[in-house]
Amino acid sequence: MAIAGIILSASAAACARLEKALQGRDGILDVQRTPDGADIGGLVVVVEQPSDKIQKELMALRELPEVDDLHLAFADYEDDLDAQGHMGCPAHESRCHAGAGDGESGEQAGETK
Amino acid sequence: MNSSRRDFLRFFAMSAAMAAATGAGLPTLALAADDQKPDKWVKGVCRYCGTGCGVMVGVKNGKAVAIQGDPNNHNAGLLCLKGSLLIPVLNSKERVTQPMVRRKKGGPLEPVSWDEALDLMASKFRHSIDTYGANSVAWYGSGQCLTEESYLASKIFKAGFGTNNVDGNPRLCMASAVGGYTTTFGKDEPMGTYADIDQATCFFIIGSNTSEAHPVLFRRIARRKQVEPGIKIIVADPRRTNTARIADMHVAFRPGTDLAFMHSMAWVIINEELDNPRFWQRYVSFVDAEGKPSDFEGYKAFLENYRPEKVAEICRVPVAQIYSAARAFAESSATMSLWCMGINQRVQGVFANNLIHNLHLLTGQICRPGATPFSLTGQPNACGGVRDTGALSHLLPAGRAIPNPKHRAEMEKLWGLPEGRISPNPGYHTVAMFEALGRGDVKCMVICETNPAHTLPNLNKVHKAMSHPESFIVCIEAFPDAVTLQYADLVLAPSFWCERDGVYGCGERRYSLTEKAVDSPGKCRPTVNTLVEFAKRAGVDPKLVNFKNAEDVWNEWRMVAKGTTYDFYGMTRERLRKESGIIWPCPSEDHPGTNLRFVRGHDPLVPADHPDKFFFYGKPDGKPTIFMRPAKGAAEEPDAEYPLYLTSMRVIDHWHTATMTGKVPELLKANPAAFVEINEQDAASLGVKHGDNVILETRRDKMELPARVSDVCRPGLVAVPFFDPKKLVNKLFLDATDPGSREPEYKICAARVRKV
Repeated sequence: MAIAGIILSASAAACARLEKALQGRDGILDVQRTPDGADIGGLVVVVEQPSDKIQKELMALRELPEVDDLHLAFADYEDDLDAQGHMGCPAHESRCHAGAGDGESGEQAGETK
Repeated sequence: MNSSRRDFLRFFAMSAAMAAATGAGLPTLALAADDQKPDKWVKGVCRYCGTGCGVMVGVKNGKAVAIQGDPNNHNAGLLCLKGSLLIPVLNSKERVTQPMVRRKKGGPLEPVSWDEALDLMASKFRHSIDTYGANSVAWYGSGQCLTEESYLASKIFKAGFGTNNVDGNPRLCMASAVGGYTTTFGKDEPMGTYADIDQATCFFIIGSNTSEAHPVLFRRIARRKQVEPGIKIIVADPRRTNTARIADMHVAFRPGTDLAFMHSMAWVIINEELDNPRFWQRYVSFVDAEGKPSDFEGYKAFLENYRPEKVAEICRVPVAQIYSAARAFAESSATMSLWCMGINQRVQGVFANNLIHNLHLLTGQICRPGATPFSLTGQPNACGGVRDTGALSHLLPAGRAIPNPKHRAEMEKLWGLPEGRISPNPGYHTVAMFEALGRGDVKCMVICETNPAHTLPNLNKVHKAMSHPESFIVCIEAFPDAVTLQYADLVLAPSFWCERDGVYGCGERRYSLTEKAVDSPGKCRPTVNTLVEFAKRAGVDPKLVNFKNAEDVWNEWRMVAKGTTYDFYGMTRERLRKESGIIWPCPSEDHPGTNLRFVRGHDPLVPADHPDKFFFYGKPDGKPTIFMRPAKGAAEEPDAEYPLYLTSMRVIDHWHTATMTGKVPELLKANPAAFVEINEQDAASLGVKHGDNVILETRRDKMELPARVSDVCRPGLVAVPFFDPKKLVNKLFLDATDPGSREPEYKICAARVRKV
């Protein structure tokens, strides 16, 4: 699992409603309000999701009503590294550009092996 | 994950975010048990855009496992989503891990030893130089190379081989900004820093989708507006981008008419007496449309052609917007202009840059905290690595120019070369370099950490050029799916990002060191070592490349810049290890760096006893120039046959050609493929619905793309992102260039759309 520490910037009035909305949301480990006078006012949130899902969750949080912006301060992926320290990524697809245009497509110099 | 480890990470994530929110330092790790801490946190710079955010990479058991923003760098501990996902990119299995050779054009790439690869490369280059002359070889570099790599490559080619055929992808994005700064102020690079965002009371954002291209800076602007009521934000862009969401005024001018718009703003400023004569009388010179010296009255007369009522029709914007924008700009206590590709990637890119500077000089909105023209940069090291080191075909290091005999003589002395060794003729700029490749005039080329077979305009022509049977193309490239590798005869495996140490210089003149955090995979090598070895084998005088590592190169580069207007001699490697970036000028080891350039008491290059507060030392008379640049429009305007404007755009999920962001599943899923953005009015008249496939066609090519119907583009404009390797949309764009900067016009050409 990946863990991220984020700030959801929001007005003071919106924080209570947002806190409530986040309670019980899958993958939310912790929510705290920023102290008065913080550079960025809002909620500090710890999110836990599988590495390949966390981006989607962060985007969803950013789109919550009354969230002005999402700031990311920390992200950890250690748990999802394999023994070689690699992480899964999309299946390789040859990035061949043939067919991009219907006109002159540019001659191919060869493919990578 | 065991529970104590999870608890620790949960605690640390909360602490890091709270520290970033409150502006405190890094959270303490003292509470964690030893076996839960990363083995070390290593300081570096984000690999993506020119914002140059500081990062800390957490390393455990020799592997990068975590990333957080560096609280001591300008980003104050914050990162954007792309930056936060750099660890999966670094740990991706899809890397070039050993040299590969294509023994026959059209054949496959095969593994080869480093020795054989470097011998082959050296012999090909040597043979070409000996047979066809030094100008038959070329270097095409990148704003993603380390400063040390770009400096070294430029030295090898200009001093070692004797050719100025050294250019790079900053030609595609920043060359017009360079031209703007150097013509107006006599020196490249902005006078302000990102800290001006926190002082500005008016932001004039033109031709920049800051929200998607520079998210951390956009958040800083948005936060400024949040915390201080009354901040004005003007966004001038033909597209209603996400950046426009926070604007008080969005000026959606017709593409290519922004020069007229800015002249008209100047007309309002003068005619409503909102200018600052105390400033311009003392500090500014005027040059007319023919390039001859002029004066304020001449400027005023020139602007009569740009009265708001006339310009509003040209731009197709409400006339009130011109007045309002001009008043907000001039009346603010501190106005900051921000711009990027919308201004630079134009055949009038340098002129457009000049006109932004005009507005600041006319109103004195310059060289004060919050008041500055500030060009945003696209790549992490276009400024420090390519512009400052002079790794372009017309430049020499530290602001020196090839055509200037004094500058050549200085560099010949510094590099220990015989007099006359550096050619007085500028080399090929990017578009010309690939044309020369197609003609067979350039036979051997190194392409380093960039993907020109994906990014150059008029790509069919470029692909044909790169397929020239006599060409020998060497790619130093980390990712095997880069389109350019399809044209490579030899591929060299570089260490990537924090697998080696080196300096990046971001958009605010800040140089930051990325320290080595982890070992490279496979047989990858630091490019500095690769270049040194190549040069020696190709017959370059070993004394010219007597470097063991990047630090050696850095120390020479510091000496070369010493005493110039780019002086950063005080940035020792040791200081860069300790500090989270330093802003030049920084002439001595005890100098803290310079936020306000050209200002007495702030800029160490302005003498303490200088009689004036401001000294623009880049100009012989100390005066920057207000230029009367005529607004001429685009190289290819819409017509009856191709009635729409086509522009190139960015999406937040991808950076450039997606060779990095394409490795992150969620980024790829968010925007998996190219599309064409169409205004809903145009879509209705074409009978196109959201999601329909359409044919987008220009005079160069056509392609089928799904339509994304919205009100983002103004009517008459369509836009495409260029990240998708399966839809090389740059085949559609023309390769007309700005005559001054030679930057191509990606932002405007004529197109037509029909439903499939």
